[in-house]
Amino acid sequence: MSILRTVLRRLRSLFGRRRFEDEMADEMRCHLEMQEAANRTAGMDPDEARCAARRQFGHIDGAKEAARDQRRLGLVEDLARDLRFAVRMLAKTPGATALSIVSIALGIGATTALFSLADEVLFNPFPFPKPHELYNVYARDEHGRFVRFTWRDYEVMSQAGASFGQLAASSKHGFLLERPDGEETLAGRAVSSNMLTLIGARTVLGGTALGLADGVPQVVISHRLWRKDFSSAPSIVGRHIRVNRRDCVVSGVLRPDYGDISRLMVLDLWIGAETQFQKGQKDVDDYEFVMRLNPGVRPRAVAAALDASIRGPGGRRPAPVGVPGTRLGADYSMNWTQKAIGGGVLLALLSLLLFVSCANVAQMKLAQAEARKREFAMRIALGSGPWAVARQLLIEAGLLSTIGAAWGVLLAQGLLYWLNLIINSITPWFGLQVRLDWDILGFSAGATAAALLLAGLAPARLVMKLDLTQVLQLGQGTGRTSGWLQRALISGQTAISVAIFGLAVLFLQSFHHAAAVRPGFDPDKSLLVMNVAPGLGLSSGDWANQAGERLAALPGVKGVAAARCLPLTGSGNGQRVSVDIPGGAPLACGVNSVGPNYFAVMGTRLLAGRGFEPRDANGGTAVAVISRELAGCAFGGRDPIGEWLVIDGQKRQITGVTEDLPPSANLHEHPQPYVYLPYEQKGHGELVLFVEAAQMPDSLAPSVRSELKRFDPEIAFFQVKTLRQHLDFALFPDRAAALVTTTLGSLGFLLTAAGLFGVLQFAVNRRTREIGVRMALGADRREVRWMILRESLRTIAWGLVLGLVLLAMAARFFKSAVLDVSPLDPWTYGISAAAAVLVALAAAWLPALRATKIDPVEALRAE
Amino acid sequence: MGKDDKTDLLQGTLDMLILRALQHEPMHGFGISGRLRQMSDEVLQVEQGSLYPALYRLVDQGLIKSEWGVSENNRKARFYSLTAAGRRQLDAETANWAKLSAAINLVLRGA
Repeated sequence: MSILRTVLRRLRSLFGRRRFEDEMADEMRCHLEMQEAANRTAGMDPDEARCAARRQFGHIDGAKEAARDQRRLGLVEDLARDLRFAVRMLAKTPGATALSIVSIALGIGATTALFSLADEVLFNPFPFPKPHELYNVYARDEHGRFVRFTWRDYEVMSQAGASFGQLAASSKHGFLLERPDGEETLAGRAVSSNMLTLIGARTVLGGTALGLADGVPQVVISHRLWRKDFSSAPSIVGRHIRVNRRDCVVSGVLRPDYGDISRLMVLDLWIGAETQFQKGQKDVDDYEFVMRLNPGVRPRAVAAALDASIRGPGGRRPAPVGVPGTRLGADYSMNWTQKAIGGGVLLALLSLLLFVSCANVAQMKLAQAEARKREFAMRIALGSGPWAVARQLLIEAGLLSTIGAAWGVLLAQGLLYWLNLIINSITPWFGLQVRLDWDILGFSAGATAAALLLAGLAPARLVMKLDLTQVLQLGQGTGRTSGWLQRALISGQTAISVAIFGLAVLFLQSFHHAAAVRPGFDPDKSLLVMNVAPGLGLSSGDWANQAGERLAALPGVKGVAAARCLPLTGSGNGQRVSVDIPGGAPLACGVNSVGPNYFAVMGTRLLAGRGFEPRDANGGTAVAVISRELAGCAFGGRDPIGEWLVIDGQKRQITGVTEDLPPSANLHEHPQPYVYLPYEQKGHGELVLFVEAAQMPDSLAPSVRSELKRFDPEIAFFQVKTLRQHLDFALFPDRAAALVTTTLGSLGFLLTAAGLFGVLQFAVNRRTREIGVRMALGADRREVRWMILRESLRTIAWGLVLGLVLLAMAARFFKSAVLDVSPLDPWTYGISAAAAVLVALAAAWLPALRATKIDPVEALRAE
Repeated sequence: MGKDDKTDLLQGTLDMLILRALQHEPMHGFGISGRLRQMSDEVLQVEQGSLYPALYRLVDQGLIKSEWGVSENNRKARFYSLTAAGRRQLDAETANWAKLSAAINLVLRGA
């Protein structure tokens, strides 16, 4: 008979026990009746017949017991019994059980969620075929800064690189898609027509052609857009849609895994750049290049050839000596070394986190085992084998980890849902969909179970070594507080918690510094910020003036300003002008064109001179306002007001000096020279409107929108948000780092405290007698309390030291991610150490209190 | 025939006897105990109660199966019958037994 059948039958026998008993009783009664009837037929009288039948049958209960034994399936039934017992034991100490389950769930849940995210963001391979042939092209300008390419660069470079491979250009944009119920802003790329074929994008419908079909530009749309806006209609290919108010024809729908060439991004629209050109657009430096090399070509040689093509007379100036002018980045191929190192670091971190949570449970188990010594000794004395006791402990551990893991999965799912929401809310360009990584879940659950089994085994070993009589007689443990294993666990936990908490302190300080950076304007202004594209045929200066006047008349509006771009954004801020420095090399400066009210509405500080006035508009003297940094570079200590500077070849008079501002969205970067030009003199296309609200800027949005719509029915809104939201975006990396480390650090301390508490509580229980004796001999309560507190501090001492060393290493590693905090910042170390001490004292407080409540007389009599 | 003649029944032997008893028709427990006595000319007296653990064991091993039915006297009773596996087992054991007993006979007579 197959083993499977045996097991099934035996399992069935576990559950069908009552039925088995009933049927057996029926059958035996039936047998007796038949025998009795047979005896009567043979001539016995009724009483005699019944007695004889009984005699012939033999011992009924004995037969039943023998039958039961027959069915018993040893192991399975024992397991079921152990399981029931384990549930009872766990229910007996609900506090410790709950704490263990919470520890395991947090450990498994948090690590699985975080590392699923990391895996998706860092290691998820791009879906492009032969990714090792794909390279991003990076070039630097004469100041060593990265440049964005122009279409002219593309034409020159693709010719120069033609023998090595193929080059494609693309530029991220917002696009307006007309829908029956209005307009929708989409993220997309304007690309060279070979882009999609070059990366090897595949479609679910149609192809990837991006040229003109009968004079109409072709577009390829994302799977997401197809599902959302076109309800997955199969007839989409060949359909005409309106993009940026022009007719386009859909040539294909990408597969769902093709989001973008950047990680995390999901772009909805791909359109041929050449079909979109308007006059002068070939010189806009807004393109990124990606190149697919022919097999066997060395990227270094290609980079040199490409670099040579864009430098020199009529092209770009050479990059500074010692800086590679052009470089090919193998960003798409999965570098195995990198992956192994990254994966190793991830796993190490994961194991550390898990260690903290497992250590806690192990802690609890060890402490309980000490306390349960007597129970084990009793069981062994009553004849159960050491293996049965060990099995009992293992089953308890297994049960705990299973329940904990189940909660952990729920927690991880919840966390991932939340993380996806948060990350995708950063920008509409993101389309992150992190799912639970079952490998990682398996790893963390397996590690937890293994740790628990080990923890379960330690007490089992204790049992094997037990001297039964001694334990039964004394009833209490020996004076030693905790074994080396417990010490090691607590030290490890403390070390990791201190290190992570220290990082949290570091990142919190960094966050506060970043939040305190003045980004070239007053961050507390209540402003509504809108990126708009005017639809009327006005020059954008006139448009901005007229729109500003109409908006200013609205109730609740305090002021309106316009600008070419929004400060603290990566891409829009990429515009640069070249400023001739008297007696020095020309300087590339960030630039913004702003309307007359800009400085007032934004709260930008003018350190000298004046801002722009309406008279600075077209026709007047060419003027500029410069940042303090630029004033320093160009004029040293001299007063720049009234001086002249050549900016992009035009002489301009300096009317004012403003405070400095960071060059991009990164608040950590040092200020760089910056130029403001009056909007009317230079400006076209899209613009940013800043509307200052008397109260909440949010509430102003609908009325501002409808007023602008009345003024310009063709207007397109790309983004409407408050200044606060915009700042939050810039602060996001700092906030996220602070949030994650604070959460993990606090969690670590919480778990450490819980573990410490458990250990000390059991220690006090076990030492009741000793403490009673001490108090009887005259120790006062304060001394007893201090004794317990001191023990707690001693327990964490080594962990604390080790943690500070770990912290120093981690702080060095994260040095560049932290703003204005030294890796040896004394506050960080002081606060972390103080926190650990506080945690140790807090965890010891209740046990200490309990120790002082011991009544010496009771304690001594209890034996 | 006295008590002294009662032979200890090895467990394996009892199993084989039960299979043998069920060879031709399904029977209930009482019937089997009668048949066992009858088959051995009253030499093998199984204590009736000890029959049941053996029956359950055989059911567990899949050699026989049981079914509730009605006895000749209109009583509810559980009837046992051979399964295919049981029949094979019986054949194999019969053959084995024949070989073994022939060998033992040889040894005993030869002595």
